[in-house]
Amino acid sequence: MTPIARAALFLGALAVSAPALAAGDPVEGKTKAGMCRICHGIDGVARNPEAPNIGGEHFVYLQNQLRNFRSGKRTHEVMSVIAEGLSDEDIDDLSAWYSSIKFSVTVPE
Amino acid sequence: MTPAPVALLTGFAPFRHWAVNSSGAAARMLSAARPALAARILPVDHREAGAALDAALAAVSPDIALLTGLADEPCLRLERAARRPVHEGGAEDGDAAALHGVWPWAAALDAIRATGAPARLSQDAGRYVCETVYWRGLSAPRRPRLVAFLHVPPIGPDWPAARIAAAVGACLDAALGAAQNASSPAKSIASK
Repeated sequence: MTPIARAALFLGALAVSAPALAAGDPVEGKTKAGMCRICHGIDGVARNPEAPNIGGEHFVYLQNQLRNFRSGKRTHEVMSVIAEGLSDEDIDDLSAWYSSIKFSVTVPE
Repeated sequence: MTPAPVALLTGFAPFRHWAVNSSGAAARMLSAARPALAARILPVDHREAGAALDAALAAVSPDIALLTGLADEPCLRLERAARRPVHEGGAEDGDAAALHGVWPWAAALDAIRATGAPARLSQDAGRYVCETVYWRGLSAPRRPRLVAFLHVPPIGPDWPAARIAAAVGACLDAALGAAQNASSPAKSIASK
C-alpha cells in the first residue's frame, strides 16, 4: 500500500469513528438533564456535596462513565440504577449537554 | 429570603388484610408533628386515588411531593420511575412509557439510613395503585419540582409507626434541603 493510500485509509477511518465520539444533541440533553439536576445541577455544578461537578467535563469521559454505570463496569448505588434506564441516545445527549458548558478556573495565589 | 418550599405527603388508606396502612399512619404522624406539611390519605383504588391526588396537587400547589405506599418488604424502597398504567390505554408514538421521579436520591437514602432504617433505590414501583399514583404525580400538568414515591414496610414489632414516620420524614427533609440548594444561584459557570 502506498503512503497516500495508507493516509486515505486512516482519514477514512477517522471520518467513520468521529461521529461516534461527538454524537449527541445538547438541547435534548438539557431537557433530559432534569433527572440529573438535583445532584449535579442543570449547569453541572453539583448541588450535593457527594456528587461531582460535571459541567464542562469532556464528552468522551461523560459518555464512558454513563456507559460504564449502565454495563456494571462501574458501580454506584444511585448512578447504576439511573444509568440502567438510559439509551445510547440519552447518554450521548446528556454528555453533549454537560460537555458544552463552559467554565472558568481561578487558581489560588 | 427564599420562602420555604411547600411539601405534600401522601399515604394510603387500609386495604385487604392491612387494617392499618403504614404509609397512611406515617403521613398522619408527620402531619401532626409538622403543621406546615400538607398530608393526604388516598383511597386504594386506581381511579379514585388518581383523582384524590389531582385534587391534593391543585389545592396545595406543592414544590415537593412525596408519595408513599405500603410494600411487604423489611426495607424502605425509594422508587425511581413509574411506568404508564395499563388502564390508561395504549400510548401514542412518542408518549413516554415511563416517567422518572426527581429527588435527591443519594441524600435521601443516606438520610433514611441515618434514622436506622434500611433503604434502597428501586426501578420497579410494582404495577399496583402505588405506581398509578406515582405516574399521576409525574404527569400532572403542574408537576411539583420534586416528586418521588417511597414504599414503606408494614407496621410490626420491628417496624412501629414512629420508626416508619421518622424514615419518611428524613426522606422528605432531604428533598426540602435539596430544593433550597437548587434555588440558590450557580457559581461561576455559564452555558454556551
